[in-house]
Amino acid sequence: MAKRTQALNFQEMTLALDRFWAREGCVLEEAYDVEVGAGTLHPATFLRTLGPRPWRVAYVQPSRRPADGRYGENPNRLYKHYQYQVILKPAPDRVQTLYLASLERLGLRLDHHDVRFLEDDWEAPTLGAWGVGWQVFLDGQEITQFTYFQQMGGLDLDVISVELTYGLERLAMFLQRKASVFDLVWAPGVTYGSLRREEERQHSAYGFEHGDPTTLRALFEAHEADARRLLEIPLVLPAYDAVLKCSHLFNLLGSRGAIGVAQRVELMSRTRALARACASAYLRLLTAADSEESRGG
Amino acid sequence: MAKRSTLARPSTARLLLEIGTEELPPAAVRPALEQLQRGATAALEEARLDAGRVQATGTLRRLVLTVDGLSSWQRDLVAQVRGPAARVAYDAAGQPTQAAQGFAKSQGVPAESLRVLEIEGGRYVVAEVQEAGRPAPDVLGELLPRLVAGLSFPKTMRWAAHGFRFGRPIRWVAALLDGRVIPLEIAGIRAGRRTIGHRFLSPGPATITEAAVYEDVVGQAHIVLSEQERRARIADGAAALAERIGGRPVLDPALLEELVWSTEHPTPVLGTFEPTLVAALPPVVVLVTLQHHQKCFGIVDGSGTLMPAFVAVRDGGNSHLDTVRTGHEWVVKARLQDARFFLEEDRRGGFGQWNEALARVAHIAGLGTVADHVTRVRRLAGWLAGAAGVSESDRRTLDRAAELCKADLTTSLVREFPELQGTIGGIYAKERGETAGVAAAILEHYDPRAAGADLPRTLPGALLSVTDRAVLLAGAVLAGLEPSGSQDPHGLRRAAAGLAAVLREVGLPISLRRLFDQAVLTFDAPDEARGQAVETCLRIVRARLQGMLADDGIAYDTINAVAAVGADDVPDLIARARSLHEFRSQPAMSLLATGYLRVHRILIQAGHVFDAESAGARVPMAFREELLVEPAEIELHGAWRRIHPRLTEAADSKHYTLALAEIAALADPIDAFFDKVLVNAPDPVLRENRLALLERVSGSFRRIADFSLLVI
Repeated sequence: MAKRTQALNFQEMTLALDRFWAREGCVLEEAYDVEVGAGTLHPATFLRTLGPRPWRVAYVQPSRRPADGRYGENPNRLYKHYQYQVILKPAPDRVQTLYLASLERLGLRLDHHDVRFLEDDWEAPTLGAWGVGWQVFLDGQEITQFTYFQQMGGLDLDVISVELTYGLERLAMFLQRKASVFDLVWAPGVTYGSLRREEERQHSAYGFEHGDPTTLRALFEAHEADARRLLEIPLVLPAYDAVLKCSHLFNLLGSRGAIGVAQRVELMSRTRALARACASAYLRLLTAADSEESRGG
Repeated sequence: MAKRSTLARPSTARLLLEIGTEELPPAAVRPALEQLQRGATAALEEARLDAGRVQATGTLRRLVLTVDGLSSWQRDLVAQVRGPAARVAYDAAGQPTQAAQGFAKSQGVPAESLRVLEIEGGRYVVAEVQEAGRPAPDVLGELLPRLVAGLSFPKTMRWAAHGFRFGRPIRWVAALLDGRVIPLEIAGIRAGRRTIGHRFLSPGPATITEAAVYEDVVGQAHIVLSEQERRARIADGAAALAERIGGRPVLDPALLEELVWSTEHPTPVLGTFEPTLVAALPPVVVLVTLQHHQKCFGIVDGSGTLMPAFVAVRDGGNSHLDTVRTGHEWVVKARLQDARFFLEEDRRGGFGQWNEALARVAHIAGLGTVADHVTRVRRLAGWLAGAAGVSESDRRTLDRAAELCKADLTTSLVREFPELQGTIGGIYAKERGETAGVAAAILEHYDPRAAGADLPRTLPGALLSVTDRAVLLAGAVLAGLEPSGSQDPHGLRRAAAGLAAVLREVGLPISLRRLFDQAVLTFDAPDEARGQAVETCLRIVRARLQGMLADDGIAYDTINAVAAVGADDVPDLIARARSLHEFRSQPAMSLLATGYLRVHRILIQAGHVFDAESAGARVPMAFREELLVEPAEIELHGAWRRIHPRLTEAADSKHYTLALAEIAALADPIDAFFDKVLVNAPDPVLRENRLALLERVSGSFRRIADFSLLVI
């Protein structure tokens, strides 16, 4: 058996992925600074995959899912986790090979493991988005969601993008062989737990016990109204930020147990309608800009 | 008839088509291969290419079509094409008209060559069209891309600008006729003689020099092309590994199938985990973790007890199996510890708290929450217990199980393992001191979980299964969600089939109509809407019942005949259908059915209405024996009176085979009656009396079926 080399720590993983994908022509974006539940919600994905323009981007997106919080007590569950997100538009023919090469860059010897692409079609009804692809399994562990987007914001995509979403914690736990996410080595001498456990505890308490439903509800209504107003102007990007706020507030209301079933369906459909409106408005702007460009050029 | 002779004697060749894809959904591969095989056979036939064996094999990364003994030339086509009628094709002078000329032109033949033939009683001009056969590669170049484009998948996708749709992206195409590449293009890819080997064992391209060596080439590239061989490698390999530790693998058929179709070079590997993890978790949780989440087989010892070990199936070779093992072991351990964490979280809660949380879980749209559903199920279960006349202890069990049956939906374990709904509820019920009957009913009320799956074993479980489904159906229909066409998003047909299967199996003599009458009462709705919903529910369930009987090999006319006199009591309907089905092979059957048909027709002519629903309510026509005069009618009446009490008794006790044997005695008397007796006698008193006799005779038949619906 080959000697196991020292596993990459958490920040070395993102550095390695950054270097790998930068070489493949990706713009290294930063995480979006509005709370989101998944890297797909970042405008660099949700908006930039619309329309015909080629685009390659990679970024780490902290993703907040209030209902998944466990006060930092469950070694496998987090209120906030980190997704490493790559968008390749259009999808290159050799995208699977590229992806596998990125795993090797993380120190994985593929011939020492069992790597599988198992059917898993992705869908985000609140975004009017769906795609087709796989979960990638490494020795039975899901490590990446691999998706060819087909629709975004309810719109058929002109150009098909591939989205790669690496679950950084799971990958790191596998590579570092840690039974608890909080024991992961983030940097030499610094654990994931030392950076994040208190945040998990406090945000779980907030999400499950102390979020004020009246405030959350009022904020939802305010951001929703704002999104509508901004779409009228149209200021699509600020409007989209407001939609993201709504989406996160909706999740908080859910984890707080503050919305009934009927309300839940209603708030979800209101958020979806706004997300779709943003996608359409963005695409209109894009089309206008492109035709301007072709006239000018 | 002139047939163009080909220059060379037709020879045969081997065709190879390999569609290389990214990993297809495992469940979609076999159907795609079947379509490919069937489609190719039909397309070659239609294209006049003679072929020997047509075969489709493959894996999730390649769909492979091979045709042996394929003719290298198309057969010539000689066909007669019918044109306009002769009378409009020629003018008075016998010259071809515009119509004839246009037709000839459209067929590419001179107008003079048209002939007149008599076809189906008319005279038409006919063009003899010939089309010379073309070389097979030319034909295949058009045929194969169409064939591939026509393959259907449960879900298709686009991946590139050409917009081609397929199950997953196509990345290479090899198409050879013996040693020659067939010029064709599929999804923007030109076919060649290049294939790709196993993703990790032989990632490079390999050359297929000729179609005959394809299997060798991919074999060397570490592809186990044969489905049977992959299955054997997995199943036999897993058994051999498990035996090493004195156990045997639990070869879940669905998982085995998935692994057969999700690997190209399967290699089983044995792993173990801490025995304490088996001890800490319900065995079913361990098994589901291994099977559904980790795609591994569990292992049991000689007594059927789960062992702390598993067999994982790697898609790859034998090298570095130790790292694969430790990888899988590490992940299995993490998953089981995760499950234990959920179990511990659940142990801090209880049924009261879980049930309370159901008020925040949506039922299907328009039906409120799952808590609302539970309230309705409890109410209907109360009625059903009474209607079925169950014991007091069963009634108590049913009521408690109804109250708790959905609680586990809000537990952490079921949220994590949704496939364990009911199972976890049953386990927690036992842990929390509920009776074994309550625990069993909670577990069983989801049964049957699929067509042909296990049915509830206990009576309260069966009643709860029926109740749950009846409330679902009634509510969904009231909310306008009834299935249409192939659309049944809420699984209502499945629910109806399950309901029918349980009633059949348990033999519960429950009136379906009364069941749904009660089920709709648990919803707020206007009476009229409720009434309509009952009819719709009955229709859905009856359609499933009929499908179920047809699956048992019972002919449709038999099913229709028995259902026409009442389809409300499921076990009764099934008993009548089975008896009539067997009876239909009897020699008396034909005469009997013809006889009944005459009775039936004459009664209908006389304004009699046959209606299964109101049969009991109708006042029979007055009959007086002393008004019988003809020997044949006296004989029929005598025969009827002899069998009537025995038939009634047999039918009342649901011995329909006996009842049918009694009825058979009426065949000859009915025949004689219609030969000799004029029913529509001029004397209205005699006529009415004869009709009244026939009504009684018909009533005997209709204890079993409406024989007029039998196709003899």
